[in-house]
Amino acid sequence: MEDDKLKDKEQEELRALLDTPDEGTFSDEDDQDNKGDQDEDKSSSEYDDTGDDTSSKNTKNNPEAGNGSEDNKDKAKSDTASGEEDEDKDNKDRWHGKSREEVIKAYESLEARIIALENKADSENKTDKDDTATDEKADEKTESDENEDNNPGIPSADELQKMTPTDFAKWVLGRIDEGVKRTIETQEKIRDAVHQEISDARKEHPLQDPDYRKMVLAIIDSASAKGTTIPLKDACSQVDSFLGKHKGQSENLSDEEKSRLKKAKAQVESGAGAPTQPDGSDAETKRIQKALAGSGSKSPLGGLGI
Amino acid sequence: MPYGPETTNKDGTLNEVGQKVERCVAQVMKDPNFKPKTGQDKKEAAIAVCKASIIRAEEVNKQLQK
Repeated sequence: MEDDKLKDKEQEELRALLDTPDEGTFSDEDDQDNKGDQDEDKSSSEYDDTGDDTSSKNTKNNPEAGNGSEDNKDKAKSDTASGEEDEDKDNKDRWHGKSREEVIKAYESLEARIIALENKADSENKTDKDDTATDEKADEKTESDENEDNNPGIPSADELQKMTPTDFAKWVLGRIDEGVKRTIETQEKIRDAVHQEISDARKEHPLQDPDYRKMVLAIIDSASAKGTTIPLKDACSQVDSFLGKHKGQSENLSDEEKSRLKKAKAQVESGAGAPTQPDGSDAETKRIQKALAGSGSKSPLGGLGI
Repeated sequence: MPYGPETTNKDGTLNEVGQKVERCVAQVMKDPNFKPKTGQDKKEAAIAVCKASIIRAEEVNKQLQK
């Protein structure tokens, strides 16, 4: 009996061994498949039973079912992930089966290429920056020139925007001070020049005489009314010529007058002196007049040089 | 202040110098021979010339009266 029992046990074990596969993994998968089949059966039975609640239950079972966009995103993500994975695989394959020296050479060539690309990018950036800088400078120059031409001394709009109210007030006060200083300087210059001119003219012309001064001022005013400037000396010389008192001319005339006076004196002394007859004719006076009126007198006060 | 602070009264009207400058500017503007420097407005040049000559004349008048 015991032998029979043992034989049965051995046979059962052998059958069990024969029924089971060689590797244990297959048994798990089979179990999962079986479980899935069972789930599907369950869900199908639920669809059949519930009817209208299928959609809700379906969403419950598959919460991502209603969102197509999320599905697409997931798909895209999975695509990109797969792409990256492919690239990684390619990179891995790239170095696969190569010797150490070949890998080093390839790496060095890659580094050289990267450096060359960086240098190119830097040079392009520099040229772009230089171009933009020159353009900006040119624009600034033209703008500043225009500003200077239109409003000399007024800062540009950017500078004004940067200014604080106190800075602007300081700038305005500075401008006013500059203007006041400039006007004072010009007034002082004019005053000094006029003072020097008057002191020079007083040496040669009788500017202390009020009538003479009025005439000089009248000439200067008439010239200034026309927008012209006449020097004081010229005005004085004009007045002198008008009065016939030009210095050089008066000296010459006085010499002529002196010579004429000498002639007249000689004629008078030689016999044409005092009239013999107290009620004498006008012959003597006519003779003296002829002697004196040899060249004629141009002086407004007579020919005696008085 | 059409011609500057020295040509106006406190109420903004032209003083004697301002009136002189105005007459002078009108006369200079009529002159066909008057040509300002390049890039300068004719009226501005006329105002500058008239102001300079009239202010100088006024200064000569002041100093000779002393």
